[in-house]
Amino acid sequence: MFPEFIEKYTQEVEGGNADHEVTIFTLSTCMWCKKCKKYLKDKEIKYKYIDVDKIDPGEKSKILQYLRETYKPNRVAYPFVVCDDKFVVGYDPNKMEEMLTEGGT
Amino acid sequence: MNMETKEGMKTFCEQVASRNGWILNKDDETLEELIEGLVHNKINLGYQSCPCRLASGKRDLDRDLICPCDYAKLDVIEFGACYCNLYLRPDFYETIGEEYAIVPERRPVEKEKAVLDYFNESK
Repeated sequence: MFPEFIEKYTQEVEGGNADHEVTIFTLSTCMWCKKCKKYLKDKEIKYKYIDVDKIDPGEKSKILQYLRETYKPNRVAYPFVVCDDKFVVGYDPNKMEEMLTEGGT
Repeated sequence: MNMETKEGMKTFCEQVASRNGWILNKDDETLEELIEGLVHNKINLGYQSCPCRLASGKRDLDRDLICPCDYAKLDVIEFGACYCNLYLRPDFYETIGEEYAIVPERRPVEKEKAVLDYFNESK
């Protein structure tokens, strides 16, 4: 669960597999983000997403700040995939598979 | 050439690829999505900012991301593909052995920081 200022922008995509809480931070124009959404859909994984580029600049700032402070990634790039308390930066099916199999706890 | 249309943007990208000795991604769906992203940014921002990176919307801060981005040449040499995988090295499909290449972000952190500062000012 994310803070309200993030949750209010999330859109949910239904899926039969709801074992983990998966949220992806995406760009609406990004091919990698589309591949990521397709990957999750094909695996019937329930997830939420936020198209960061569609949010007002001031709110973008809060979200980016949150991602940096919470996950401490080397870079914030897209898609930024969060599964429970783990994360993967960029579209990397192998890392995502590992994260979704092992879970985030 | 109207770069606010998919046809025009594709022609632009073909010219960029030809001028640099690159090829365009051969996967039709991937290429279409990349072109659509560029057209979206051209229409909404006024310039064809890289569709796989978060643009600030302020041209001066996004100048290095305007396609072909400042990092494409080195990325194509080193990884066989630009960050988006729109532009590929001509031998990409023969030598990389994958449908796509995961290209790490080469953009300096300071430039991202400047964008974040700009967003902060908008609060």
